[in-house]
Amino acid sequence: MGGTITGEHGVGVEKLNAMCHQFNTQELEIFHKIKHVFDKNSLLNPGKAVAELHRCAELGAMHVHRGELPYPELERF
Amino acid sequence: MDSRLQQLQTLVKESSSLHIKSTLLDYSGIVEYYAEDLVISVKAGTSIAQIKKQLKRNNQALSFYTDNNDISIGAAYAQGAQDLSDCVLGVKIIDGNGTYLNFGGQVMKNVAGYDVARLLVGSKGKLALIMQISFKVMPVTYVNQLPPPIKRKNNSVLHQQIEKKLKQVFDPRGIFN
Repeated sequence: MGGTITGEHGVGVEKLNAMCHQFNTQELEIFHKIKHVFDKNSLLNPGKAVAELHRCAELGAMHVHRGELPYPELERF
Repeated sequence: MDSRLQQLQTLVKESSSLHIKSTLLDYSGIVEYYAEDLVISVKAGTSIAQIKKQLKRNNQALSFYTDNNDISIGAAYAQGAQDLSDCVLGVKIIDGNGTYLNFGGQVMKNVAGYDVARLLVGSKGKLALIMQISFKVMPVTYVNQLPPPIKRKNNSVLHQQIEKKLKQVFDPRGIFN
């Protein structure tokens, strides 16, 4: 439908997981790169507001859809 | 996904240098228009005149300043038309790697993720291929009482430095020029 996960309260920590649903891997990567432009050493609120890809990959039970693992490029342990 | 979009994605992937013009796009039309919600989504090649014509039927108008009706909405966006960033809600773009990305949407209030839709206003076609833009519109009566446009300087050194770094983010291969 093209809505948003939050309209007024920031994403912070509480809504981090929902970011994985609204944005795909490439879009999240762009966010991380933009963050890096302004905050080279990740000093400001690391891990907040934009979900790490590993967080998205590990979110909930592993769900293999049509034989496709979510985030296949990430290393698993 | 429509075929013209896929053509353009392939074009970007296979190109080593692209000068973006509306004529290159050949991608126009009003995608969605919700008059009662004051939201319109258009393909980037749609002319300002065409959008205004559609809006006028519902007594609505653009709430940013454009002195040229012949340019496309994508051109107005790329040039950074005054107050355009205030009404942009979302964009769909093709980045320098040919990836189709969607930022923002058609909702008035949205704080999820960074505001890429507004970041790219005034990017002059150097960062990404803008494919589709959603923005809010206003009733004619409101637009008519807006103050006249003001001249602003927006080329600070900081701006240029940031732009250089953002180029690495959106167009790492440096094909858009």
